[in-house]
Amino acid sequence: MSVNSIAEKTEQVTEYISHHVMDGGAWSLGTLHLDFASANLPAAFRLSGLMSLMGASFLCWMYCKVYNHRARVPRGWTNLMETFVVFVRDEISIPYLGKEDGRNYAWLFLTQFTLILTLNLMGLFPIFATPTSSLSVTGALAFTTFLAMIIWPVQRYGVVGFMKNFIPHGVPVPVLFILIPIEVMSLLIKTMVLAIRLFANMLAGHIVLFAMIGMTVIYGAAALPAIGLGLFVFFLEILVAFLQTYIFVMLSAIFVGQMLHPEH
Amino acid sequence: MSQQPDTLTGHHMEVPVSHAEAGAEHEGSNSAISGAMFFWFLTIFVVAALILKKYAFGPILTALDQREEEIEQSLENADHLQRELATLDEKVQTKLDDADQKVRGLIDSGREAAREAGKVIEAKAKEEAQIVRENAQREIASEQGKAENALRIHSAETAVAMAMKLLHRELDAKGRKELTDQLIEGI
Repeated sequence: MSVNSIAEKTEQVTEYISHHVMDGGAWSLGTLHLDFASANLPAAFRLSGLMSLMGASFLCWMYCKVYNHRARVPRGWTNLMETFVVFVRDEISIPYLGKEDGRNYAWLFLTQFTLILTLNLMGLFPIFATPTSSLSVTGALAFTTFLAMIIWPVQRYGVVGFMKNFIPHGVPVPVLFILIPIEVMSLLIKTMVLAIRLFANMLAGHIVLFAMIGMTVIYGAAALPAIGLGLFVFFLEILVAFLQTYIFVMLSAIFVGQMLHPEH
Repeated sequence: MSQQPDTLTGHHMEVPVSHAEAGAEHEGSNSAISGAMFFWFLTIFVVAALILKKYAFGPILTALDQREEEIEQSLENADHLQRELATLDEKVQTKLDDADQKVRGLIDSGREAAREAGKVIEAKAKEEAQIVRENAQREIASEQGKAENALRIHSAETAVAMAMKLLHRELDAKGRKELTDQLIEGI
């Protein structure tokens, strides 16, 4: 294999990976090829948009139809789905929001948890892509936490009460000119960090996975061990999918809990 | 832009030929925030959250609360029943102890009664044995008397017979002596 040939293939693989991590407008299902970009559809109907819609529909179908609401003893899929519900309520929502709020607001964290997990895992199936490797998607997810951090405390304490809780007590007025922007920035940064953390982790996993497989394209049979490494990264991606979902939802609960219970 | 099928993921691959073209696709980059995509996903999230809250998580959380309440209630009931069972056990044990004591008392009194009855039976048996012995002694004495009488009669009869023989035979002294010896031997 000549140096030029390797360089060409490396460039091809690099381009392929960079193309793959972009939110393209086409989706191939074997012989069926869907080109959303050429159909001049809105940007929402790009791959991430379509995958998000499919993921959310799948989730609603699973919890509304597959879940057996009448089962006294949950089994199979019902048991698995109920495990997620119990986990989010008992390990995330109630510990960080308290018993009362944790039960009342659990639905938001449950929706975040199940939806993020579904979208994270989608990319591990060959014909699907991971919408959470798009900053627009993770940004929207983080925005739901941001809304909860604002709306629920305002509902409870009113706008004035919210502002009072937002700013520490006993601070001299001149300091407020510095403190208020810092607090606002803190609120925004918390939200942005949520979005960027999930996006970066899911994107990085994909890049590493494709880089491993791409090595076999560049170096041929000599790089076959990289397939094993790719397989390892694939399993690692499953772990990362669960871990990042947990981290996102746990941090959301902490942030919302801090706003709902500023005394703590 | 050249199109290549992606056999790994199923995504259609459009490899940008130049950096200019790549730059043109910047809107589709995952690292850039697209407003349309942001609001599209936000809409999906809100709709999914509303559906799931109304038809899935709401009923599931209510059912879980009910189930937990039922389990808690059942555990309390089980605890209450266990306490009741322990109390009943204590009562049963007390009754068993009482019964045991009563049985022991009954056995002791039974033994005492048996002992008394034994003594009475023994005394009665001794008395009866004494009567039997006395009767036997009387009977023996009576039989002895009868035997003596019989012997006496027989001896008398023998003496008479001897005397008669002595009278009927005229015997010399030698002959009398032999006869007397014979009679004596005969006696």
